[in-house]
This record gives sequence, structure tokens and C-alpha cells, in this order.
Amino acid sequence: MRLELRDIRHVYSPGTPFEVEALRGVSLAVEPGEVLGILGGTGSGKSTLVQHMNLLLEPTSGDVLVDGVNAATLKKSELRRRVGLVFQFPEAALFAPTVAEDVAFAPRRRGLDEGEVDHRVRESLSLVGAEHLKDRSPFALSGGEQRRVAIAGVLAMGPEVLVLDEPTSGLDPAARGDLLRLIRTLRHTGTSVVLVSHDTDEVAEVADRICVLDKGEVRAIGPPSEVFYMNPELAPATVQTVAALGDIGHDIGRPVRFEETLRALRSLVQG
Amino acid sequence: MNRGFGQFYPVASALHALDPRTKIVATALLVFGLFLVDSAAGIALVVAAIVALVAASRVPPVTFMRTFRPVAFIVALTVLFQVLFSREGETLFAWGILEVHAGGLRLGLFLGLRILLLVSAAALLTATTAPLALSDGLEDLLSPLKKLRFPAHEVAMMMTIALRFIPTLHEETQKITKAQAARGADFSEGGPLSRVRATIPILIPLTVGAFRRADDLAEAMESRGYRGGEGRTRYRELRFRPRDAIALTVTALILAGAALL
Amino acid sequence: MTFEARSGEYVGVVGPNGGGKSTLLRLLNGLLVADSGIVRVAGYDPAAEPFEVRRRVGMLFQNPENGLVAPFVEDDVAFGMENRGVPREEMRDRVGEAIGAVGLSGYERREPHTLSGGEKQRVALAGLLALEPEILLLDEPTSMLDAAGRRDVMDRIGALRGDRTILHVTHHLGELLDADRILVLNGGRLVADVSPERLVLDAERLTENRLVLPPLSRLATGLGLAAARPRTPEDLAREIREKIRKRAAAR
Repeated sequence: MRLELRDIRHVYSPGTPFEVEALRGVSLAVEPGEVLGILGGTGSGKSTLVQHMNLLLEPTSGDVLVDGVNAATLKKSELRRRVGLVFQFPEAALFAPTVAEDVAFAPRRRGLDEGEVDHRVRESLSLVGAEHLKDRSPFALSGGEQRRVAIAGVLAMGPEVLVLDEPTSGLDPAARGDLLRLIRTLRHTGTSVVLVSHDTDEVAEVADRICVLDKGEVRAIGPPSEVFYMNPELAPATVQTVAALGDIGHDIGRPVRFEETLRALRSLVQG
Repeated sequence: MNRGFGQFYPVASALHALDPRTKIVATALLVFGLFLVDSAAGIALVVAAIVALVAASRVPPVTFMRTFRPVAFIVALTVLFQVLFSREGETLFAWGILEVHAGGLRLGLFLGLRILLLVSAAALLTATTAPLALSDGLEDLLSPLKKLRFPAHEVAMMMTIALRFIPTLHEETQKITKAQAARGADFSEGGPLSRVRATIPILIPLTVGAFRRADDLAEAMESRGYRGGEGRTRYRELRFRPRDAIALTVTALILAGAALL
Repeated sequence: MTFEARSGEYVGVVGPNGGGKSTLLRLLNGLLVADSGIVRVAGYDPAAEPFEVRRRVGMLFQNPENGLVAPFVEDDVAFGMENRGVPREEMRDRVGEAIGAVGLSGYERREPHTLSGGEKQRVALAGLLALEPEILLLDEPTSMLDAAGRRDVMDRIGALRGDRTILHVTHHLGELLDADRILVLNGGRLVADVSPERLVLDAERLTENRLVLPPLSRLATGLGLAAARPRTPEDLAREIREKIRKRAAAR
């Protein structure tokens, strides 16, 4: 599915002394099967933006289009099934007595029969590597395990687009790696992934395209090699190193991912 | 922002500047005194005093009127009850079994006014006193009760922590609600029973989260040397000034006057 | 587990989750009591005299939200001093100083829920500094923060080195590159007590304990340059150019 946001403006508390324009006309599209990274700091509007993708928030002006159709005309429940949104620290919303029950929440809400629900639960738990936690209480799990269960809960809806808001927040490096692997797997199965993050390193590792948000506006959008090398101040430290090499660096092209950067620099150093 | 029933209205006024203890005691005196007031002149005096206080508080009268909304029904009911069922005094009207007596009318109006005045006094207190100041004032006033084993410090600490976390819990609730909505939860459909059940995916995580928070906070407080109220000093200061003495004296005089009238 | 930290040392504590890092810190300020063995902090036994120990030991926690107890910043910073019975007049000055020390002057009347994660942690830090502790225990203080918040908090902590003994539990090895020592805890055991320089070169130890170096360090190691030096991309670029120049000269 192609998800498009056209000139989205969002104003919080309009007409009051607390009025704030969080999004000032943002346009971007999530192409089918791609990983789109959205980079931005606090106050950039990225969390606000992301909630427009499944219309949890409605734009003050602008449109959200699903395969060309205005999302406002679609049934909310259907839209939210097709565009799955995982909030930051999603484990705060776990509530059921067992992991399986919690993950079953969304498919059950859709009215699927128990057989299908069970299938979805197993499948999504397997995707996140948490099948062995199926009958445990979500409250007895570690932070990383809870995170995986929460994500499985959204995957169980079978979304075409998965939006992840800072999914590696608070995770140790091992769990972080697992999550990036999950994103690659999802992409492989044809699910588009929108990865919202402040961490340029991890976005650089998995994104096909990057959108940089700054104070409610799109500052740059395009393939990582383009966005990062044209705006080195926004780039991960490894890319900044290549950029800092100046003329010498031009010979090795524009590597973005860690491995390719290391290889390129090695070849440079070894002549 | 929805300025509801007696919510704190931050503005500079003579009332806002008073010590919270003064205002708490004055309100308590008022509540007590209102039950002693018996004459029309007395009530009129109290009404005039309240009106003057509302003006002095610089809180918009419209905001004040909103405080009456929740009690409007009770007041109307009280007045109606007295008017229709009291048999005191001379009969003013009569339709069959329904009789309206002067005594009933008078009593009804009195009771109705009393409720409105009580509500106004409470609203004046909370509108002109920041929640934290209220908590401080209460702690201070209740501290003599420590001798009677009343946990004044603990109660005040609980109030402070509650004040600190209310906005946080509010945000947390919104976040959880959105997360469940993103998974297909619908909080507006169905009858009352299903709506209540729909809140379970919000209440449970909220409660569990609150307990976790409490654990974390307890660790942090202990680490910072908290061990109850023993030997504790207070950073915030409550200073009783001449204006407070004046305010209390005036309040007492007005109430004495109203009771005697 | 046996270890000793001397006055003024900056000690990193790393290892996989569940390995005992948080337990270690909590044993040091008396939140937990050891089943056996001896714990001495600034001369005191935390289990026996926690109140004394906590005057000299400040602990910063992982969750910025749950470390703040009061509805206003200045009140929270004063909390520790209130517990110690510090006189009011003295508190006012010390609150001001502590808030200034973390770069948050002007934030006195702010409410905690309006602050960013990094600001919250700095307020918590100010609360600790107001008591002038000799020892600081940091329990993953930056793991829930974004890059900007992490930078702000680590800058302030960096400024505290030397005067105080600091134990810093973290998953970000990049924060410990110029530590004096790094303790590696795994499964409740102290598996290593080494300098950062040695640890970053020990690939086996890193994998065993699920430790990951920051990208620039990994790049440096991969290019045969010293990894334990905290550096900027420009620094690394300079080193690379230097290495290329040397190689060209050698030919």
C-alpha cells in the first residue's frame, strides 16, 4: 500500500493561549515495501506526524491518502488495521493475563474466529522471537521481552505498513540489534516500515529512504546517501568521518551503512 | 483549558496573596458560621461578603458561576422540597393537597442559599490557592494533631506526590488509550456495560504502571535520605503576615455579625 | 564479587541485563542488603547505617520521570536537604547553586512534566549535588534519553570527575571510553576489571558479554587505529589521513 501525507498541518489547542503549530505543511509518502526512516529531535513533530498515519490524530489541514483514497473516508478500524502504529515504550500498554491473550486483542477485536486468532498470535510471536513467552504474564517479563510482545500485538493485525516510534528506546545493544533485524525481516515480507528515531546510526542501517523533520517541516527527504552527504551535520558519525576526509573521501563514493563504510575506508587506507 | 469547578485560577489578587492557612481557616469558619446564621439580614450580609470576595479575587465571575452547575440540581431540589412540603407559617397558595406556606418558602430559600454560599466559599478557596499551597497549609494546620498520632506529614507528602504525578498520569492515560485505539479498541461503542469493559485495557496498564512508579519513586526517595517526617525541615515557607490577621479578624466579625443579626 | 574503588575514580560497570549491575549499585547505598560478605562505603556499612551512607552517596536512576518527587523543580532539588534537616536559609542558596551547576538556571518554578528527559535527569542530578556527595552511583541514567539528552547529562557528569568517585552503569560503551576502569558483570560474577583500552580490543570478551562499541570506535578498530580514545568524526578523519600519508611515504 502507498501511504501519502499531503501538506499536513497540525495545530494543537487552536485559539487558546496554548496554541502550538506542531506540523507546518508536511508532505511525504511511504512507498510499498520500503523502510522509511524519519529523523528528528524533540519538538520536530515526529510523534505528531506519525499519529496522522492511522488518523489517531486528524490534520488541521491537508490529506492522508491510502492508495490514492482519502483516509478520512475509510472506516477507522480498517485503517488502523492496515497501518499499525507502535508507540514509544509500547510495553506500557500491556494488560492481559498472558502474552497470548494480549497479542490476541487486536485480531479478536476484528471478529476473527478463534482458530484464525490463534494462528495470528503464533505467527506474530514467532516473528519477534517470543513464542516461548506465549503463556507467561506480560508483567513478569524483562523490558526487552515486553517490547517484543507489544510489537507482536500490533503485527497480529497483519498491517501493510508498520509505524514504529522510537522502538529501540531504552533497549540494550543486543535487543536493539534484534529489533533492526526484525525490521529487515518485515521488509522482506513486503510490509513497509516507518522507523521514527532520533538515532541516526540505526536509521542509517535499515532505511531505504530518509525524511528529516525539523520544527514541523520536512528539511530533507531522499535516499540516505543523498540526505546524509548533502547535510553532513545530520549524518551518523561514520558518514561524517567520510565527509570530513574531504577530497580523499570522494574516491570511495557515499557509503552509508557501517559495513560498507568500513570496507570503503579500509580500501582507501590500504591503497 | 477547561476551567472547571473551583480550579486554581492563577492571577494576582489580595486573596491570592493570603497565607493558605488563613484561607483554610476562614473557609472553615464560614462553613461553621453559615449554620448559625438564621435571619434574612444575616444571610444578606454573608452574600454581600462573598460577592465582595469574588470581586477581590479577580477571578472572572463567569468562572465562578460554573461552580454552581454541579449543585444546581441539588439546590433546586432542596428548595422545591421545602416549598412544597413544609407546613410552617401562613399559607400562601393552595391547590388541593399542594400547599405553599411562607415558612416553607423562607426555609427553602435559606437552605438553597446556604448551599450556594458553601459552594462559593469552597470554590473561592481552591480558585485562589495553588494546590501545593493548599497542601502545605493543611499540613501545617494539622501538624498539632501529630501528638495524637495523626500522620499529618505523611498525608501532606501524599498530597505533594499526587500533585506532582497528576499531569504525568494524565499523559500516560492518553498514551495508553491511543495505543489501544491503534489496536482496534473502541471506547465509544456499545451500551454502558461494554463501555466499562472497554476501559480494562486502559485501567490495568495504568494501575500496574502506577505501582511500578511508586516502587521507583520509593527507591529514589529513600536514596535521598527520606525517612518520614522526623527531623525534616521545609524548603517552602508559609508566612503569616499582618494582612492575614486582618483577613481572619474581618471574617470572624462578619460571621459573628451575621449570626447575631 | 570483590572489588574496590578509590577516591576520585571513574568506574564503568557493564554487562548483559540481569547480570547484577543494578544490584551492585543498590548494595552500595543500602537499598539492598548483601546475604553475605562485607560492603564498606566511605567507611560505613550501608546495611547498618543507610542514612549516613546516603548523605555521602548520591544515586541517579534510569527512569527520569520517577526520580522527581515534587511538583516544582526547586522543591525537588531541595528534597534531599529537607530530609537532612538543613535550615531553610541555607537551602535556598544551595538549591540555586545546584540548579546552576547543571545548567538549568531559570527552571526553578518549572513543573516536571513540562521538562524533556534530559532536563529531568539534570534536575535529579542537581538534587544529588545539593548534598555534596563524595560518591555518585549512576544506574543507566541515559538509557531512556534521546541523543541530545544523553549529551547534556554526560557533559554535566563529565564535569564532576576528579572530585568524586563515580560508578557508572551503562550499555553505551562510548560513555566509558575515558573511564579509569571498567567492570564487566555477567551472571552475578565480576568477569573483568580492566582499562577501557584493553576492553575495546578484546573482541571475544565484548561478544561474550553482549557489549557493543560505538560506531566510531568500531571503525577505528577496523582500521587498525586506537579505539579507546573518545573522538569526533573530524579527529578520526585526521587519523585516517595521517595513516594514508604514512603509507604513501613508506612506499
